[in-house]
Amino acid sequence: MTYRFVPHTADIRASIEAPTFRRLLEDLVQVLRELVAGDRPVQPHTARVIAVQAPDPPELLLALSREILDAFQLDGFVPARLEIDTLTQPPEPPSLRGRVLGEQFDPARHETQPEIKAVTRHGLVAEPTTEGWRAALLFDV
Amino acid sequence: MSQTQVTVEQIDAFRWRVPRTGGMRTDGLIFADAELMHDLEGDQCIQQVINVAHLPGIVGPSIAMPDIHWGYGFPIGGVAAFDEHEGVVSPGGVGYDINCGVRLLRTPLTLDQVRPRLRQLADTLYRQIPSGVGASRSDLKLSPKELDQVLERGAEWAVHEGYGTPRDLECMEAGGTLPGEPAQVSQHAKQRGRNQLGTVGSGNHFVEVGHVTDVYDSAVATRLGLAPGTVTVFIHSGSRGLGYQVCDDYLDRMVRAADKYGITLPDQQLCCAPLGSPEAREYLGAMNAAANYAFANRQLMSHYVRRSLADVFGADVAAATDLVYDVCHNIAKFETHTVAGSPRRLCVHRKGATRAFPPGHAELHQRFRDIGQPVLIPGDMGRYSFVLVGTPGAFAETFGSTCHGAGRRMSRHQAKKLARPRNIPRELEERGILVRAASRATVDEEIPEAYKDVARVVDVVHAAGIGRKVAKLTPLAVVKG
Repeated sequence: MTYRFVPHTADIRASIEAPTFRRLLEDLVQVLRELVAGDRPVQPHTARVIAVQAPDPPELLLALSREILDAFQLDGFVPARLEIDTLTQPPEPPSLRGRVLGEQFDPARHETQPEIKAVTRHGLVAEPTTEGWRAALLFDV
Repeated sequence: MSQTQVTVEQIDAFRWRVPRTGGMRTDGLIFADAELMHDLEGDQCIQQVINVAHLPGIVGPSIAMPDIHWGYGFPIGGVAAFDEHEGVVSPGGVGYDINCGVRLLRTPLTLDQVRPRLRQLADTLYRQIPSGVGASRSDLKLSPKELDQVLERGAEWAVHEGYGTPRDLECMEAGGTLPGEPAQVSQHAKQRGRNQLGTVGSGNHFVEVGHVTDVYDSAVATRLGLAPGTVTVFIHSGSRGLGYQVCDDYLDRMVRAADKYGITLPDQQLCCAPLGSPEAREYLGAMNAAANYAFANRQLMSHYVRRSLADVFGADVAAATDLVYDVCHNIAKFETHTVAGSPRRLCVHRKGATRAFPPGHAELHQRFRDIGQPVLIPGDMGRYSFVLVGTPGAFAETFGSTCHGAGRRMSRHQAKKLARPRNIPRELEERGILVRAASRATVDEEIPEAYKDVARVVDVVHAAGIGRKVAKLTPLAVVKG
């Protein structure tokens, strides 16, 4: 696990460190899984096609988070993992095409969590480091 | 996100100044006592007070209430006013939950009458008012036309449809309707809002049955129907998914607008546009529409509270249950305030703060003109809440604003860790408070210890003269998301 939740007084702050940009995005989906379903297992029963693009890496993380939170809030879809088909990275404007595998939220098997209202731009970071990539995101609860 | 060296100077027992430095256009002003200030150590909220002071056209100080804590963009508990010509509007100064707010109903019942049927009342409220993540109503699906009516008319739409009485509208900030423009709300936001009207949501939102335990101003308490022993119902909720989406949509536009208008931001979440710009006008139209959704949401929940009271105690009890008041906590509104002796029209942002207009203010309904605007300050689910009234001091010093709640002092993670080995609903029940919740995680994150003592917060605003204590309420039953 390369992500952790960092103390924040009112909301939820997540920090991710990963060896590659691809892995950073995959781990972001694990953060989102935990935020909506707790630490219970989520089965990859169905797939949702996902295609997001953005002017820079932080905005790509924002766009991917919004897509997945939307799928949960509108349809009760809980993510299990991200499978990336194509990924463009800086210096090109970043974009991602792939699938999010997951299943329908089941209160008997998943743990209902407080509602995530949104992913914010406050302290939003996604940048390369000497060892790979790091990201920080703040979710409004 | 820029970091400035934080210097704080004590002005008096309840006021602290953050002097203007660097790119700040004004000072910061924090209302707190020494202990509340001590609690802020390690929290980034003072930096956020400083960040807000960088925004163009700010008038007066960047203000923080004693329930201030770290938010995103603005601090929670922040107030800032902007000149209508030179200032800006910032969706981050309102927040995702547009017009998140609170209302208080008073019943004709006393504690002795309610206690024997409290369990039945708590269960009925839990059934009648959906709570939790993405909660929706199967008995109220709005057509696109009806939703536009909600966005345009707010609580007035709900009353017109039979969910309340005309008297309710007299007891709401702005009469429960702001000049909303449904055309400025995206289809995506409307989709998220279609089935959520009349639902409480999650996090710190709740429906709480309580009773009046202390009265500090008997004349005003009597006018508000808050005699000792009176059973009350608090409702805390906002604009649900529709409001979150409006904020997201316009943050994207405001990031571009800030760049277009050459506004330097210390934090991207403070993105904003000049008040005269098309971006600002469109945001305000959409924000007001979402605020109307929130007013209607709380009005519908009041209807289901009355229906629950009718089921448990009879129709006459429901009919005699009146709204005390309804206030916004997250909003930006044009108001006229006196600045350096002259009246100025300002866009006042309140992010986790409450309007607190004084006696005599023309915007108050006649029934409150002589006592001032009721101010509702919920605490945590284990201790107490307060009713105050607005004061001339608040109008003079804080653009007619005061605190909005206890304010968190512990992260959600810390609270969960503390609650994990315990059974919080059982602990509260042993203290006479029933809890009904859709999620254990929510209850654990909302444990009383996670919050500051709201009595301390309220004592600061009372002593500083930016609010006046009227009554204290103690919880009996809480419905959480």
